[in-house]
Amino acid sequence: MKSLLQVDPSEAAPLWRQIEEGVRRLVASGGLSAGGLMPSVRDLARELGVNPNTVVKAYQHLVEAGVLSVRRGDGTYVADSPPGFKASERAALLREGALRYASTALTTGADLPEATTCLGAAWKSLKPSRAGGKS
Amino acid sequence: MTALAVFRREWTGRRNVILLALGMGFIQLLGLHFGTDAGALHDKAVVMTVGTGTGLAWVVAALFGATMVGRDLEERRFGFLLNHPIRLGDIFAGKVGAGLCLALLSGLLVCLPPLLMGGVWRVFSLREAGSVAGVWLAGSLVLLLLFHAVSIQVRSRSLWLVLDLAAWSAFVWGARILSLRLIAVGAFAGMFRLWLVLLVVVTVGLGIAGYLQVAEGRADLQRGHRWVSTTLAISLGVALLIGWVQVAWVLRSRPAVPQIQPGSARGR
Amino acid sequence: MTITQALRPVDCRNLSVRYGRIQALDQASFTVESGQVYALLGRNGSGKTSLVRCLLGHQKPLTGRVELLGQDVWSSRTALMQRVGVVSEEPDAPPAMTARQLLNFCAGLYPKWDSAAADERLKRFRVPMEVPFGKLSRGQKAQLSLTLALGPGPELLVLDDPTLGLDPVARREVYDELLSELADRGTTIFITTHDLAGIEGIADRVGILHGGRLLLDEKLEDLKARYHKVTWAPFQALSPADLAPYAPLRIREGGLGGEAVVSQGDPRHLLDAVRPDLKVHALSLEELFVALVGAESEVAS
Repeated sequence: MKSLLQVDPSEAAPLWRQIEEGVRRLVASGGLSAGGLMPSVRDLARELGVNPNTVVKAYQHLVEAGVLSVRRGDGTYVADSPPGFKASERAALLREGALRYASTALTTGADLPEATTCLGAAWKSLKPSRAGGKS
Repeated sequence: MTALAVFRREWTGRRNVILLALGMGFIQLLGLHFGTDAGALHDKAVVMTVGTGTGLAWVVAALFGATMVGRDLEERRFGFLLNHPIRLGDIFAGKVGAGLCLALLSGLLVCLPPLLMGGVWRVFSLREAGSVAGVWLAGSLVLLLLFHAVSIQVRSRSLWLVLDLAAWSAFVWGARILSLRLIAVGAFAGMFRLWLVLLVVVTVGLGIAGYLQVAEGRADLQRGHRWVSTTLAISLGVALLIGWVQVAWVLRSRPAVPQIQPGSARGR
Repeated sequence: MTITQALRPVDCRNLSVRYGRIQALDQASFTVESGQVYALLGRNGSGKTSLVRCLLGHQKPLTGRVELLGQDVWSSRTALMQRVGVVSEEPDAPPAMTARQLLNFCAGLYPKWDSAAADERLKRFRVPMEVPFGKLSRGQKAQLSLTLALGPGPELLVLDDPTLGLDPVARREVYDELLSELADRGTTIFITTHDLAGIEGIADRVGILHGGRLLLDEKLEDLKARYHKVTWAPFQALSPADLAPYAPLRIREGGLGGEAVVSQGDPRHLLDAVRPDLKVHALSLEELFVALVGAESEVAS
């Protein structure tokens, strides 16, 4: 977890969002296996050197998004399967993420084909088995 | 309860004073040892030892008073006491108590050799020894409080020092006039009573000033100084007023001797 | 929930302090909410020491008042200190007392003192028990002071530059301890520091003190959303009017191009609409502090 997840307080994105996205990336790439136990808020906060409330906020967002699940009195786990989102929910989530990516691409001066190519490469690097699967 | 904690805190770290007293006691022991042949010399040595003890007790009290709060403030250590749930009165009482105990103990240690040899009891009666202890205690208290006030006044380096000097000068001047009026009528006993009254009132004033310095000044040296100065100026004034009433009473109850009346003296 | 828990841990109103002609603090007001980590930043001589002294009831402000946990700190200091843990800027424990003596000293003062936790913490910090405080290293002094402050399980921690002069390892250990405390007990923390990079991930809210005035008092997340740095290459002349809508703090230009810190609005608009050739960057707390305080110092001089 330590080397896999890293945050930088001096970045523009809020810390909880950095953690949220880091965990998403780890889950997507298989760095965190489905059903695995997540570190406690206390431990992760100490490891990253961030306020525990920040970790709590990131975990809450991830639980709401179905990436993590909480077992009462036990701990936080990586959800067993990708959450079954309704099409409209998924579209909203994707649109939000796409906006963020598009603005990053724009601020670096990239054009659309370049950004699309980059997205495809990232997709492949995260989940080789799923690349080209059904959308 | 919390005063005791302050007491212990003051006590730790001043152990070298005890060592110094023991060392001085040892030197006295040599003096006593070489004087054992002649009884008179021996007695003289015992008296000297007690004198040294008195001196050391008073010096320790004065030094303790000068440093007990002032040094903490200058070294920014006073916050340690303020950051814990210790009552302000307990801070002051604990410090004063520790200072007095340290002064008395160091005086006593100097006198340890003649005490052990039984020499003290040959020269002093139990009652006399008790009054020696009383003198040590009273003197130590006065010196400790006085040097605490003075150390605050000097360390704060503010213009209030002018008021302090003016108040002390006025007090000395007033006390001198009152004493002279009593001397003029030959009321020497009355004069000593006057001095005693002045001393007691000023000591009480110094005690209040010291407490207020801690309670109202806290870590603010200048503010503490202002409280010390005002309290002290008021108590010096009150002392003079009481002294003046006392002198007036003495003069009225004792018919003046015409020849040495101050008025006629001035007429010449 | 008792009533006291609902009260603000820190509530400072209109604090002013003067030393002769020097105005050390000028009408400083701020509050710290329960569970928050409030970082007070400021250069040396900005009035921080006076503020902390007023905050702890060590000094009476000329005007204004401080309430901690709903009680006036000047009049209720003794009772309040049962619930407030303090680490001073200068390690101020008596130099002759050993860690063990200091632990005993504190244990006697607090009914709620947790001896086991304090002993364990010191062991973790590897602070020797029998060495006088004055002979400990700077890091050990800080760690022992923190242990003493955490001993009674305080509701509020006031830390005056707790990592001052510490090496990176000791500093990390202090932060780790604070983060554990936050996670386990949700303690409210008021901290002053010069270690802006270290506090950046921990602070919820930031106050910047300069010349006795509180220049800024805002949630760190809001600050980061509001302030940005804009840079441009040499010869891309930029007129101040271009940046004016974004309230620039200061604009610097040289042979290597220019940079400006803007304090308002989403600068992506700037990129899209005004000057697509500009670059917009996030600001670290340190850059933000330098920009704000630097701009203020230039105004003053």
